[in-house]
Amino acid sequence: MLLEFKRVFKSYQIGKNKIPVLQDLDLFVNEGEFVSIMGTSGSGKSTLLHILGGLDTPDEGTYRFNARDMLSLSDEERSWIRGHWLGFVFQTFNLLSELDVVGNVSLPFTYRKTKPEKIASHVEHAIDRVGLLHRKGHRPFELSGGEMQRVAIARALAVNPKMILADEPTGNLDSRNSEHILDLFRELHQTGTSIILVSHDEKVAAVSERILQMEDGCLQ
Amino acid sequence: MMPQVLSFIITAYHSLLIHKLRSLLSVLGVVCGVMAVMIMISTGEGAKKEVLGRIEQMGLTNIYVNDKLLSEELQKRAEKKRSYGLSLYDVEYLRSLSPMIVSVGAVQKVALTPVGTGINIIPSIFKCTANYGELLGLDVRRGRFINVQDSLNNRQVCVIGGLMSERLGSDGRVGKLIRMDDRLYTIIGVLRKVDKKPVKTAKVTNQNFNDTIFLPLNIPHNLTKFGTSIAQHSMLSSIVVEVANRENVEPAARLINRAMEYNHQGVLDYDVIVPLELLDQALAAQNIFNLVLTVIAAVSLLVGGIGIMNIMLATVTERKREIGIRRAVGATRKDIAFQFLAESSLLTMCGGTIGIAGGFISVFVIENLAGWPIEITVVSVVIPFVLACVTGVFFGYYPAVQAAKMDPIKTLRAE
Repeated sequence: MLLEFKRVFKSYQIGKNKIPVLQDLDLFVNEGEFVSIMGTSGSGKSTLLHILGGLDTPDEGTYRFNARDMLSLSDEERSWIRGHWLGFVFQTFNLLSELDVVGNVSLPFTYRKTKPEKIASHVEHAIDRVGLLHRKGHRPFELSGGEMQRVAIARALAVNPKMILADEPTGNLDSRNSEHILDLFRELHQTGTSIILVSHDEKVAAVSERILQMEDGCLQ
Repeated sequence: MMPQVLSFIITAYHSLLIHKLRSLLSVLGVVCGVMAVMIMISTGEGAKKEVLGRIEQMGLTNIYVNDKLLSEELQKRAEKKRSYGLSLYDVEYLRSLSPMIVSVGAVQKVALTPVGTGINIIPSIFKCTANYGELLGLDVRRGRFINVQDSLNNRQVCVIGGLMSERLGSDGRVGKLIRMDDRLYTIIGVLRKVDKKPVKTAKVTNQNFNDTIFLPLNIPHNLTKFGTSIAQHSMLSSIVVEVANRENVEPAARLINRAMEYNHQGVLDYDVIVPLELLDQALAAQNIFNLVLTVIAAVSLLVGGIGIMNIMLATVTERKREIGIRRAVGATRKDIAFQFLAESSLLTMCGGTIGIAGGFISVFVIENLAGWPIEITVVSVVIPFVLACVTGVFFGYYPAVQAAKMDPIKTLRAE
């Protein structure tokens, strides 16, 4: 089991009110599995993904990832896991505008002890996998939306993660570009990468092998 | 760790380049601060060196008793008390005063005019004792200085300054004659020419003796305090007393003061100057100057530092999303803090470098236009630069910590 998420609760304090976001949520994902989590806006999908990525912590519950108790880890240890075992793909791409494709894909290596020559080969390989070698010197504003998302995927792939967490990866793309990105996810899955994809779109979710519905902070 | 630090510096460099003008403006305070510190250290060091050099030239084991001009009224009162200014009797009296006193020399300004030299230098002409050259460490380039025999036998000889000799050409060599008023004097020695201009401070007058002529000062035997010849042998310009060592300077100075007071019946027609005391005063003044310098430096760097902090806080707010992205790909809070600290440090280091360059130009201008003595030392370059770097770290720390503390989720959602 790659990921075990048990009896997780999370709520946000807004003014005097406590708004529950995740309620008694269980999730188990095996190595190499492709899971989609579907739900309407505000159903708690993104919060779930942030907790899975170690960017946020739940109020209650247990979370084990790759046999590590994620909730007992320090900030540095969680950062290490994000940098070595996890890859994020966001709806808004989240690329750094001052860096070119190579610079953006190399970003995770800034925080890893990897030899420069190895970094170059990892980065080159990741850019090649998303088919953007011919644009590696370009900066984000010179790329189309689909290309930017492919760069983001290459950045997630470059560190050879155990799992990719994708938050509405096609949310900002037209249907043609969306199709390309989903094809890329299919390919990644076929090569054994575990993926958790969050979307409100059924067509997008359909690309995975298991679809979970999220409603009012619970997985159905 | 090294590649990571390098990567922080490269990232910092790129992000500073994005806002070139803003970076430059934000660092202006530090530039001015560093320039101010460098100018002040350089001028301070220059002035210190100048004063110390001058005082040391006077001899730290020497004590000077200089003639003091009195007003007409005071002069009359002094004459009633039979005090005619510094006299040869004082020289003799001080010589036998204490075993602490090794040697006593005297110099008397005389009103003679060189005739037919054909040069436009009006020389200062002094009669001096044979030991005067040694007491003041005068450097004789050719020939010799006046000796005891010259003084005892009242020989018509002279020692001339380096510039005088140079201007006189072949007439200014050893063995040649110079006519002063109605007498001929044989040049027996030429002093080394000193290139430095004489500089005057409140109490110390430094002469380079370039345009001076020294003649032997004859000291008659059996001088008595109230003898008839006393007035004739008075009006010395200065008496130089050399004591055995530095420890003797203070007690000898007290003794000399008492002896002079007794000799002159309480008439203060002289000044006792102790170079060692002047040195202490100069060092004390230097300490005050250093304190003022520190305050000015601190204020200017404080202003510069606040500018840096301001700009760094704005940068952190602007780059929230970047912080979130970096956190998502594995950056720890420490990494984020280091990133912004590297940026503020790089900013102030650039400011420091520009300030040092500006400092060099400024001290060059000051030295050449204002004629102030300047001394650029390693300290005058390193201290301002280090201060600039410390300012960067100190004032960049708070914004860096603010950046590190940011919630990664909120930063990822930032527009």
